[in-house]
Amino acid sequence: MRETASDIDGAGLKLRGISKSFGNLQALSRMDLSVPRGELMALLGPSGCGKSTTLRIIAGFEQPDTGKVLIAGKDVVHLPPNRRGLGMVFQDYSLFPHMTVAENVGFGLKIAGLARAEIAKRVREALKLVQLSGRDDYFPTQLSGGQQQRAALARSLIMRPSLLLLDEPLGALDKNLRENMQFELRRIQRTMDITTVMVTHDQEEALTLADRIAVMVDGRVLQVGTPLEVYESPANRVVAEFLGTANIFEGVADRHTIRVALGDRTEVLAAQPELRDGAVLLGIRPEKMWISGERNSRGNAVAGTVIGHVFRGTAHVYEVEVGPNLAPVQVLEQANSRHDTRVYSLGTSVWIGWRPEDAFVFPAEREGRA
Amino acid sequence: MLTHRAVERLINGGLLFYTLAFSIFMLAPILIVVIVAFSANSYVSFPIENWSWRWFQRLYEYRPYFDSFVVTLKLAVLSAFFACLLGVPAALVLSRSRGKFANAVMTFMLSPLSIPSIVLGFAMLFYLSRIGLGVSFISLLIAHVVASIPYIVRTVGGQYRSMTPGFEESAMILGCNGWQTFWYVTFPMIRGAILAGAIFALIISIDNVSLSLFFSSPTTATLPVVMLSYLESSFDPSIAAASTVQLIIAVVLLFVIERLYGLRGITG
Repeated sequence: MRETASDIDGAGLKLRGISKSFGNLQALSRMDLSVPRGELMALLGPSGCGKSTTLRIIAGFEQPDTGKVLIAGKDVVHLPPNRRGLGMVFQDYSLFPHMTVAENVGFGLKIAGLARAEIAKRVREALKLVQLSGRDDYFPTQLSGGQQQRAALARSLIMRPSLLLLDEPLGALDKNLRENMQFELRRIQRTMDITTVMVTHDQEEALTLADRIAVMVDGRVLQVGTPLEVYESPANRVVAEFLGTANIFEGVADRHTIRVALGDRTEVLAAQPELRDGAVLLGIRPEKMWISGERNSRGNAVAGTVIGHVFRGTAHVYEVEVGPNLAPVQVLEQANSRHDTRVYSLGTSVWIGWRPEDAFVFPAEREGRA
Repeated sequence: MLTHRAVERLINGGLLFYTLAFSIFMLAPILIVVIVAFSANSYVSFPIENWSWRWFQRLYEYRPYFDSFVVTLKLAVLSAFFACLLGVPAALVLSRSRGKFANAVMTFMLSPLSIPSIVLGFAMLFYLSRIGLGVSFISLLIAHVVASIPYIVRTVGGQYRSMTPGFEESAMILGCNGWQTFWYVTFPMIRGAILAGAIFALIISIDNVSLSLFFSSPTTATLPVVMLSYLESSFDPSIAAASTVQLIIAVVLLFVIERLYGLRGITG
């Protein structure tokens, strides 16, 4: 989406060849990343993938072994954290327990030596932005989790940082609050037009909040793209399986056709123009598949037997067996209206299928790291 | 057949009895000392026939008692202060460092807890005499500081370890340098622990006999030392009165710690 902007020097954040090891453990190996001005980039990966180390290197709490951290075009590797002009919200918010909300939010300005009246004015503005007006004299323990998070956000934003770092921003909130805060966080980030890097292991959090996602595994960035790109066209099996569920089949590509031993079929269609011939993996997300009692003539269709079914409120999820040596295929069907959705009971013979353009294909050798 | 619940009750009842009996066994002598302090007799006896305050008055009038009490208080306050000055920075550094060296230093700083104070006192007397300090208030102070440091290190270190690094890191991100981070964030958050450790140091110092004995002279004798030598020549209720005063100081200070910090932090 904004690839061209990322090439402009002097804006946003750039990581160039960052390596870091702790003893024998290689936490990051020659990592590159560009975050254009105003973008919200999510570093997504399982724990231990190096995403938190990356954040701590950007903040200045860790020194990289090699590489550069460019913030607004300037290498800040040798600057201490207090001179990098960043904002950071920690997972547990780390609001100072001995200060009121207003004192917490105004703390950075006080350290910067601003006049008391100016601080009071900007604290008022910041609290208004995060909808905490009137809570000035509360202590952090008197606030709910969501309010604490907003206070921590205000404390960072009041400094007008050139870059905002968020460590698992919604991790400590319960589910309902989480959904509210997703919108809230996005609104504030857009209003402030502030370049943001967020670390998360929660794929939903990354998909909903980020402009772009960098999927990290074992200290490497496996793919960078918009939520749509990484979800719809994952670069490899690890990315495909980390972001949601994927049915993955082994096959052989031969001129836009992929041969997969699937049920009674050995050939399926794929719409991947750049597909190179050879061993490939073919993936389809459960919600991209259809399930029906009759054979649908369009696209790929395979016969199978329902061996599992769960109802998830908004959808039915089926497990369908399509072959003796194949993992069951997951199919998700939206529960549209109460009357027109047929529920297939266990043991029913069904047809499942997908449109060729909804599948993603990647060369089989790239799954090596899974 | 006993039901599960009945067995549980029996066990609980047994435990309660044991605890009570044990407490009485431990506390009764102390209680008797306090009662004896109010006796009008000129010898220690129990039960009391006539009550009086005369032995508390004697405490005030008998010079060695009064002078040594002043020395004891001065020593306690100064040793707590210097123990904080040395112990707090050490606790902060050591509780965030890992590795063999940090562990070794930590063990070393806590070692006065496990070394018999006779050994510690003898070693310190020998050492301090060699470097020319000998039997003096300074030597006494140094010995007490050494004995107090472990309490400061334990309370402050414990509190600091329970404080996630995020607080200090937030302060740094918000523009604080090292000193500002300490002054505005770390110090306010460990203040309670410092105070609790300092009070514990006071109690340890006021109470100490074995170290003080080594550095005792007419001008540096502490109250417990004077009491001990008084006991050698006479045995009257003034000893009980002095013990009662000490006891009250300790109880009040312990109560303050419990309020500030919780005793578990030190004993646990």
